[in-house]
Amino acid sequence: MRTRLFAALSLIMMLVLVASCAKAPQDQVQSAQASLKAAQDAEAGTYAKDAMANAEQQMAALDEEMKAQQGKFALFRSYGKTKELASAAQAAADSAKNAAQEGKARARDEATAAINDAKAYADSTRTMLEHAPIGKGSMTDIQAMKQDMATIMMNLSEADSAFAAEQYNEAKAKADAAKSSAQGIQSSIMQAREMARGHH
Amino acid sequence: MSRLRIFALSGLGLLLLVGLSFGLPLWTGRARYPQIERDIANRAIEDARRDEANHWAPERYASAVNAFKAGVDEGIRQRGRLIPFQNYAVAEDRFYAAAQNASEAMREGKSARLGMASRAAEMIHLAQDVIHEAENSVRMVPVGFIPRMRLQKSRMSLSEATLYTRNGRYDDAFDKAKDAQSDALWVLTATGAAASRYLDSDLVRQWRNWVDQTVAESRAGQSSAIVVIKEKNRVDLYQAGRIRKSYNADMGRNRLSSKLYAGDRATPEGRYYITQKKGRGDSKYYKALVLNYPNAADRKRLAHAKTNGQASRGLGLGSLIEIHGEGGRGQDWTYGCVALSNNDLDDLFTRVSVGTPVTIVGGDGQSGKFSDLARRLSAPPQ
Repeated sequence: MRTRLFAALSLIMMLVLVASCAKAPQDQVQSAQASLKAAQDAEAGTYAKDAMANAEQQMAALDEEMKAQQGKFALFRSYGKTKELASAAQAAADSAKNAAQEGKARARDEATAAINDAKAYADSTRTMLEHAPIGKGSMTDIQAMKQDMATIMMNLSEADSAFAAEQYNEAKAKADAAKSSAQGIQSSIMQAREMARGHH
Repeated sequence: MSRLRIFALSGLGLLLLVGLSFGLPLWTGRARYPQIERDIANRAIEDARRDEANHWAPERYASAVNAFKAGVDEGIRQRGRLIPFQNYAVAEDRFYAAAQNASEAMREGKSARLGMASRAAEMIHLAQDVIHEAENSVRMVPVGFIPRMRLQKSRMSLSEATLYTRNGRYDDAFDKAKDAQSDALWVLTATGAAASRYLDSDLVRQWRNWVDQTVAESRAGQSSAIVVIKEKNRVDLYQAGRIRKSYNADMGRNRLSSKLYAGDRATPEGRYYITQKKGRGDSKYYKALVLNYPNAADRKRLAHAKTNGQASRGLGLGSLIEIHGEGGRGQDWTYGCVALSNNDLDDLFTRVSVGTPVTIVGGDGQSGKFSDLARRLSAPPQ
């Protein structure tokens, strides 16, 4: 009788032990979620769309597996696959974050180059305006061009603001537009020079 | 029948029942997880996302994603049941709906993208036209800093719109082109308002009266008279009341206004006469016919403007308004004088003398560049 009771108790203890061993890998899941949040914060949705979508899919698979295991009777739960999926999700999220950082750095470099280029054009245009032929006929044109330059400088200032707000694509578009306008003024000055030469 | 036999048959029956309850759902497919449908839905959603359906058809795309999630959740719920009680029909339906919605989102997204691309292109085209018109108006009508700034801003917005189009950001392109069009329209309205004095019936009537009187005096006195029509860039020489010759002329840079004070770069409007003929060497611009500007009417107008606060107290009328040479440039460039080509001035010089009346008007009530512009800009849009 005592032997049977002992056997039954041992069985119950073993079952409790097995059940307690099948514990959800909460730390790994939380770590994967934190990595996904970090990828979102790094604007992976903008700068690394595909990598972000992959990370989100991995996270969805992990979530599904977690729910599936939690829906099972405690004795039948197994979190081996969950752990694998958590590792995969974390790796995908980390990869998305890295891709976003690279993409953002690339966009920043492009915006920086565009702004510097536009500023260089603006400077050379202003120098050209300073030395533009001022006659009775062209003075008002030069003044109008100086006014246009002031507007171009405003656009460049907006490009700087967009850059400071890390809106690199907008900053680049504004800088490119400013550069194109400065080029337009340069060609007008050249035309004015030609006209001035023609009159002398 | 022995008891043992009954027991064996009952056991067999129970076994059959259990076997059927487990086997039948599997055999009919009711308990089969719809993995294929799920994979198809998943792929369709991924394809839609790559095609930016989440941006161009967000609602339909969200329906696909939600249906997929519902399918997954239903699958989890069914998997938690014992096989005889599992039924994946609902999950299968959800995956099927997800796939359908995803492909619909892709179709809608493509259509929306193409539609926006077309709208953006149309708006860019429209903005280009309005900017072109505004540039032409500004070329004719001198404007201040703000209209000039808005015109330049509209050019840059148009440039940004074009860049966004190249990157497939059609909605941003549309918005920027709309900004460009709106700024250019504002400039057009401002220039139209400035040119509208050329349609002012009282003013036009006064100009006509001046011309009629000048011509009548020329006829009556069998003498010469000069009529300058600013918006036509024309100088008409009358002899005995008939036009003998017309010359092209350049006017003051501030083409729209009548001269009010020194340095406003406007050509005065009024009835004058020649006070002096300057030959070669006496004029900075080849030769010149000096007018009696300012006359009494000019003095009165400035005094009135000062009283009304339209001109500051320190402003003077200026002087030395002439019909001089070095003109014929095809643009209005002077400080208020009327400039003819040297050949034309030589010709006119021989036909007039000190005392010849010179009437300067904005327009003659017929067609002219400013009155045409004002008419065009005041007309309701087609």
